[in-house]
Amino acid sequence: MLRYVARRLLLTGVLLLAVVTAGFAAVNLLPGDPILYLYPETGDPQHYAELKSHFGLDRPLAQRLATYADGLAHGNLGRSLTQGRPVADVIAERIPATLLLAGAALLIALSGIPLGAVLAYYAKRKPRTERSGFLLLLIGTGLPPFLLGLLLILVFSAGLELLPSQGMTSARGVAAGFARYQDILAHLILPAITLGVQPLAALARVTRARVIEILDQDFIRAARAKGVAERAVLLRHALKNALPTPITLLALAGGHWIGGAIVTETVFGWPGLGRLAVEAVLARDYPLILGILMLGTTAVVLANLAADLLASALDPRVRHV
Amino acid sequence: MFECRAPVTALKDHPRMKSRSSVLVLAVAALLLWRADFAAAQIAPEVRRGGVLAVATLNEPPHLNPAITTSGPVHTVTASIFNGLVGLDERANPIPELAERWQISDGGKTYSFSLRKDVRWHDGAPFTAADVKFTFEEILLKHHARTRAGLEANLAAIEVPDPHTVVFRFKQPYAPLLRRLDVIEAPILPRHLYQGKDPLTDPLNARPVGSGPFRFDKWQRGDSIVLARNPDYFRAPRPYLDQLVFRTLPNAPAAAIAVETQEVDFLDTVRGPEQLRLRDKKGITLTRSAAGAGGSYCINTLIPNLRQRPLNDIRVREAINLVIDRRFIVERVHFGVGKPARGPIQSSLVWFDRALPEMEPNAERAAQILNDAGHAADRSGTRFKLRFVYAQAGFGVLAEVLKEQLRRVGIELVLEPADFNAVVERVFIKSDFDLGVASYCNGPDPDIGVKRVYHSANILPIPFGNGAGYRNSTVDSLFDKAAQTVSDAERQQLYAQAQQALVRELPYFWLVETEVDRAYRNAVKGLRVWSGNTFEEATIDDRSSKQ
Repeated sequence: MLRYVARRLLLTGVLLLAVVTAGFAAVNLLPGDPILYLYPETGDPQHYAELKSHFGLDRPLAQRLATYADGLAHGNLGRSLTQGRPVADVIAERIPATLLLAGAALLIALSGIPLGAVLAYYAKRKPRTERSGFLLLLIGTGLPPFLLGLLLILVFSAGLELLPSQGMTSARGVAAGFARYQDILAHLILPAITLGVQPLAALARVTRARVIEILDQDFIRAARAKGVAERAVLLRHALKNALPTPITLLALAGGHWIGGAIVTETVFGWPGLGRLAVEAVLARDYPLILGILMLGTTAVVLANLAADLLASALDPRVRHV
Repeated sequence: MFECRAPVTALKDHPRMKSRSSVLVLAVAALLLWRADFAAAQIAPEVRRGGVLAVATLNEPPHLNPAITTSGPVHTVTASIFNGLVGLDERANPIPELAERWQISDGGKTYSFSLRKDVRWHDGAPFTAADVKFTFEEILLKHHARTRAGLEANLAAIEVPDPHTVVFRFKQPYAPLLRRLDVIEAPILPRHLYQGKDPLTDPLNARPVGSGPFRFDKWQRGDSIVLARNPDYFRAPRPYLDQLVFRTLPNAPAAAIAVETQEVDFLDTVRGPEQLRLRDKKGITLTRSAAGAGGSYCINTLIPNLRQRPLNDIRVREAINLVIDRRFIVERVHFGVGKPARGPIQSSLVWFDRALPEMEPNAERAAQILNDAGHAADRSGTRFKLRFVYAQAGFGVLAEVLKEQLRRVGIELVLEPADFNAVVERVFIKSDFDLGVASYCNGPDPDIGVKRVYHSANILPIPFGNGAGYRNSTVDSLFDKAAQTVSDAERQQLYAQAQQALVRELPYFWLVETEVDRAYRNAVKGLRVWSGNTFEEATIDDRSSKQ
């Protein structure tokens, strides 16, 4: 097992190296440059040339890649071209907001697993109710975050005036103590739902399908014959055996989480990494784009690894030698 | 002779403005012009003090140094932190700010400014003429694109005869100077903090020290920038607000709803679709203005690449101009916000030539001209194709409409959308396009934002220069002469001649004079939306604000 983890981590390093090289080439081949963003008018060609040289953009691509790689080898992600500060600092200050949002959305998404199991349980007992539940899940899977986000804002902020819609805290000043947490929680609810609903629906669907499949198998019939309580049959036997499927799905959904975070943070003015990524691309802030790219890649790879390990812990048949 | 339409409409109905107007008339009559700002302060003892005003902006600024960039998001925030030597009134006329009076001599070659003696930087250090000389010589003339382009070649020297006098000497008479000295075009920075450092990378750019009505307090990146009242402001008792919070809300529909739900008090740009939503909402006022921190008096303009066929043929340009239905574009693309453009200068500016006719579409005549020019239609009805390079975010709908309008006479527009950054490179740096589009802003004086577009000396690989590659020595000399002419009336005549020549030759297609709608809660009063320094006199009735 340890050898497996070590091998995967080593592969992650190789993958990161490939991502950085390909990413560096890709962002530098994009038309435009950070000067056009930072200085939307330049006085004369000499001014433009001065700024290019100031940012080191007049040097050949290979030389710039070498400088960047050298910095990386020394644990230095470089400086953001637009903010003039170390990339590590720029990224670090945006991580808590994104972790909070993603964490809350993950909790919402995970509730899809028991929901799927319950739906599976009622599939034969109350087929009508179950079918309407399933229909809701289908709608949930198809709702893109930008649309759902705006709908939630229209209903719960503009319409019912129940919840704030923008930012992580109130614009007119941050409350202290407990009130501050209340304020953040109120701001968190709508974006977390927006980001969490799609994976919730997806997890519930696959769990439901898998549990229905398992409930038909012989060992369940045997358990029931032995007099095991129906609740225990569902939770301990059927759901436990079904778990590797939703977990693998969750791990493979890294793309959804990154894309979803970008959209959700933009719609709700949430001060996280997703928005930073968009701004970095629009500004052609190469070091910042690469920093976020590496962080995203690492997060996805580690999530996959964690899911693999979890799946193998849950299902002894999945063994990593 | 020239009527000047005030660009702001809603403030006319502002209750405080009405009650004040009679007092103001007396005050202006009684006091010298340079005393007018004191008068305003003296007659406002009844204003509500205190409170926090939350401003929503669509883009977060990359830094807060207004002297090194012309970027709109930077100036939106910093115009409340810094000052210019002069301010601009509602009609873009210069009024005293850091300079309390000025004298023009030597036939327009020498400008002498007497500075206020009661100005302090936010760190307590006194403001002097040395700050002005340093800011111009070391920062503005090197890094502020418009100030560098406009002044550098002509400026002979900046002299400081005493700590409260600064003298600008020019090689040639230079009339536009006063309108280039406001907080957007030439913000003054503290010498004692910037001297000997690189202004492009100075950490001060993230925590600026200015002299303006509000002091920098804190910046939580991605979320908000907080400014606090400057109790030592030289125009005390202004400002009246305790705090000004700029919050970045990048999603336009959601930002509009945030004004509705009172999460913010002021939205600095309301786009067309959101304008429809907010227009009839109780408790919200929409104010329309042609001026703003991101650019004043702007015209959405099509840029034909005159370096190549077929757009180098004036007949083809004439035909295209006749196909464009500007009224339709104003209504459908801009949701009625803006006016059909009649030429290269916005009609709300005193420099606009009122003799210019409206541009009416006439597709039949356009087809005839194209036939005469030898561009017959092929079997499919197409005469020729044009690659249209545009920013999807700002001009996506316009592109669809133009494609449809040009198709009527057999011109096929091949749409090539990209993001803003890529478009600027293709159109302005590499000239790799047939037809481009940009929002060209005139600024308060044609020497700032009009000349750069049409003068042949500006056919350079730089953003927002003479992107079409237009050359006309008569037009060049009219612009040059106007800049050196001191009398405004004579300047107007020269600019009128330039406008007539340009409208005859159509080196660009002027589509729409854009205006910006801003939305604010009725609890907010005293906004000066025509000026970068919008919030100096603002007040808010906090009792109705949600916390």
